[in-house]
Amino acid sequence: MLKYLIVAFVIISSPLHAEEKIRILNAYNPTGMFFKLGNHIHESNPELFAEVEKVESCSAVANIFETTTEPTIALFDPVLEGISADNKCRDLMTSDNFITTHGNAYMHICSKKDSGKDLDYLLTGNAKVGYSSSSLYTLLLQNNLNAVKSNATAFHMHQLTNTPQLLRSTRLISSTAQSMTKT
Amino acid sequence: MNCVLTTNPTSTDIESVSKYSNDIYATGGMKIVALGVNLDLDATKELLNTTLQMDSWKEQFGTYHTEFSLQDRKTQYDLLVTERETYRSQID
Repeated sequence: MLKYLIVAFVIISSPLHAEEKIRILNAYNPTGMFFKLGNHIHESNPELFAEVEKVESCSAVANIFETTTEPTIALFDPVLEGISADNKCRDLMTSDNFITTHGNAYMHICSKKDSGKDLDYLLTGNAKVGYSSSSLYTLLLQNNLNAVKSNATAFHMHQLTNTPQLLRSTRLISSTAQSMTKT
Repeated sequence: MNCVLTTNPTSTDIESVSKYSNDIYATGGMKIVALGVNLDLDATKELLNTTLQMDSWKEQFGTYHTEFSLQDRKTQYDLLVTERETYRSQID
């Protein structure tokens, strides 16, 4: 019941016309988690939300935001874009367009079962922790390792195949640490 | 595969560890933010929050945090800006 009341409120209070649906833009992997979350929004209410549109880049999202008159949502990575070299993406998120943090994925830290590398090794050994996505996320990983007082060093995974380059950030950002509970 | 802190590694994770490293591998940690234009932002936030209560959300994204969505927009935004500025200070 609450859902339908909220839907009705949004329709009444937004400048939507009857035939308009809210666009959902995704500048990231067309099959990745950003897409999946957008698709879930669409499937939760296909009468109100259009199918997810793949756009070329975060810059393309910025261009659409500047020019469109249609109600539009974009899924956005505040870490990746917030420290990117592209100024359009760097400053795209503002208080005038921010809706919500819709989801927050746990950071998984794993090892092969037969490697003998466990939580104690992560916390007290000189572990090398590889991250395969954007190298910018290696910064977030290192901050999280620092927050739990681990001696481990974060690497961008692809660096491990060549000459590893240590990430030299050592400052602690406790407010950004993920929930690191042993399961 | 032994996830020392969390569970649910993907096949890509396992492949990556096997291929590149005998040590430890990390993945995830992203926040997924919704930005919007030509919308009532507060009302849209509430609408998006209703999707987090659905069974389909729990089935697909059960391990994700959703507690940020319960905070008001300004609180969430200020937190993200603080994080962003901290990251920038470490990169620049």
